[in-house]
Amino acid sequence: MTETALPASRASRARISSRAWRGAAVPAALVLGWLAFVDSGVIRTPLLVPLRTILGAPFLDPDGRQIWLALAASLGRVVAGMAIGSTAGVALGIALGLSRPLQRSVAPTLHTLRQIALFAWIPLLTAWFGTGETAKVAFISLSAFFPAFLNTEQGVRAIPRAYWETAAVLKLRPWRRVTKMVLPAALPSILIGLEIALLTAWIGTVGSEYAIGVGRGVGAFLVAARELFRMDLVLVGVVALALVGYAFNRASRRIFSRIVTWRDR
Amino acid sequence: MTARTDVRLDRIAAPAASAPRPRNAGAWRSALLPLLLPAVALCAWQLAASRGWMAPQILPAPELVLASFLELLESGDIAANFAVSLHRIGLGFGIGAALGLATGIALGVSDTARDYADPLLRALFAVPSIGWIPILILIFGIAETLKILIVAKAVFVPIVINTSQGIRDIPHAYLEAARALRLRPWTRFTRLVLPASLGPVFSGVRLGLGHAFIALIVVEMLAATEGIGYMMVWGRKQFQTDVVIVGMIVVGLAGFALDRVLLGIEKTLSRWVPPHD
Amino acid sequence: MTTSSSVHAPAALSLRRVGKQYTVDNQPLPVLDRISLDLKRGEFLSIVGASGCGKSTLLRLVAGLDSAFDGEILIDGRPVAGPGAERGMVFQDHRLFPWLTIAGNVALGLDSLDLHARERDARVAAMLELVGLPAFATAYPHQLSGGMAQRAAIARALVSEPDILLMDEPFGALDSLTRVYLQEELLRIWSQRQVTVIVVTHDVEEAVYLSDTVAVMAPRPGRIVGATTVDLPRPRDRADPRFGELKSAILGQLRR
Repeated sequence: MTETALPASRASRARISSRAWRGAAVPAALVLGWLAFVDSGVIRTPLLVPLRTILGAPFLDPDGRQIWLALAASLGRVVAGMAIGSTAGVALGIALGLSRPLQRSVAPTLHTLRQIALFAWIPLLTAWFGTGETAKVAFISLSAFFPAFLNTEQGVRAIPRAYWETAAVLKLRPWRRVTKMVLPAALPSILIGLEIALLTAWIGTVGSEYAIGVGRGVGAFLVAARELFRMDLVLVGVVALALVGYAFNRASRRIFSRIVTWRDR
Repeated sequence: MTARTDVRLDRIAAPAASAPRPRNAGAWRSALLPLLLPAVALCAWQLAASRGWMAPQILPAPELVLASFLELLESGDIAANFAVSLHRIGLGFGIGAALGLATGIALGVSDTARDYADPLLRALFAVPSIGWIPILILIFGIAETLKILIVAKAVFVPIVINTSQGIRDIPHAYLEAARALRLRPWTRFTRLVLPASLGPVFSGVRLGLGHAFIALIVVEMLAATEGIGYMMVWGRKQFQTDVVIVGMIVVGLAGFALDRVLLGIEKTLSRWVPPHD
Repeated sequence: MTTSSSVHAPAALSLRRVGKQYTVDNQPLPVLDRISLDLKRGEFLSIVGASGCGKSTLLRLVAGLDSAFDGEILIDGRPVAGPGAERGMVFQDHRLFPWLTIAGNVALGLDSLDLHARERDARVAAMLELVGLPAFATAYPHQLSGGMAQRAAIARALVSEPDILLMDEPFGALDSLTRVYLQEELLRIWSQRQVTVIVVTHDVEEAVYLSDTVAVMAPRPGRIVGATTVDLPRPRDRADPRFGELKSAILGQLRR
């Protein structure tokens, strides 16, 4: 067999740090260029806002300080929508996995509804619920529902027949069957579904706030910033959007991988 | 095992992977079952609309929705909006895919390029389309450029990621064989890198097109005056919920059609390329 | 083959105190320890050893796939610098590109020579003839059996007419019947082509059947602990008692 090569440890450490230098090069150059040309006042256009203005806005600017309340409102909504939507999604996914007739009658409809791009639901939801909290949370729940449902359904369907037969032989009653066999067996898929649902719900939160425009939230903050033609506030909002999304991603990844390793032990 | 236990097994075990065992009456039932829920919903809808339980702005009668659909179809409104959307997706896809392929290849082939570009690209990819919209509106206004750029960005991201990863996933064994054969750079690229990464590249293209469609709907809903995304907003503004629903149906059908086309292309492609690991 | 570093007329291949070490956790890990050997043109050498003794590493150094080593590797008196046209390599897994036909794969061996299409096709056809696959020029690798694919790989390595053919456990992935058949094929090709061949293998019987010389390597660090000349007449008879004696002797060297 061809022997695998062992990288020299010192060489690989050197490689890693040089990669870090290169990675920092472009962003550093951008920052320096920005400071040199925009902050200094050499270039003056309303679109190129000095870096210090952008960084200071959330703390010093009266309009910029709204971002914190907006974040709180958005986070509250995403939690609510996520709770409703993902619970419904997981529950339905399991229910459909347990009952063949239920699956055959409900799943095709849900899969058809899934074809409609999520954002397209907003006008209908505002027609039904107005422009208040209900419409937004309804949309966020919908955003969380589909990934949770799809992945749970897939996870339950992938449970080997042997497990179903074991549950039957043990004469498990339905509730025990779910808690002792179905849930643990489908757990990896369910967790992936929840991860995706969280991110989709977050984008749905900001998206619906942006589309509806009224009320407090990161999306509404972006609308206001855009209407005031304040690029610095727009960037503050976008950074908030991206950072929360990134934080959700990392957090859910870490928590869920820990759950799965605990389960496999 | 008794016959009773067998029957219970059938009822509780619902593995979709198993082959269906239709006894004739059962076959009919399982074919009609998917229609049960929509039929019930339709009846309930009809009932609610005819009894006037909800205002027509909230719940228009089903026949009104159908009438509006046919009307918009005949008047050419749907077709016209469709054409605009198609044009935007086509152009945006072309730009995004070309740039995405070039960037993906560069990042896949060159470690230096990847080292320099990776952090910046990651940061840019972390911002979803909804975040780009206000930024680009401030810069470009709400003209066509905006929509095409948003679509292009939505296409760009998965293509770059999949292309560069596809190239980096090329088995080391082949790369080493290429070195032993002293292949010229061009030959190495056309005879090894491209064919070996074709699968992931096409996955990226498929994802890109899917994302492009969604991004198009979003931007047409938020900042456009025509297009199939705009149709729903227009209906909403006129308080014509029937038009809103028609718009949703059109968007759903368009998305579905796109999906099928891509699946078809993927199947044809996989028939041409000889199977390999 | 000679294991001394005395200088004769330029050998086809000459290794002079070739060594290699890795650094793991700041500790040097010697992989090859001062390997020296000389090969005459047209000689057939096998290197046998247990897994992990460094024989594949050594082959890769000769092939030019790895250039970090101490000592010298000389071909016709000139030091190697990366892969070269005078060396062809066959791997244990055939590494044919699945999306090219057999002819297309073999033609890759000529890529660095920049030939006219007609001459390239002629040489590819001749090579396929030599390895016994003329009917499979337009077939794809997945349509070939393991033995046939390996023959195609040999064709790809030989089509550029190298002076030295390097083979890393070329028949290790094949069943024993195919292996025996391919051993005979290899000898036939070798006698027709007059290349110098180095085969790395863990199969002592294969080594004795094929080679003029069998070098035995021991691991940790990889070094040559014995070199046996096989002066049996060709074609070799595996049932010949002398064959068995040589086998035992070499196995004995391995066990030490």
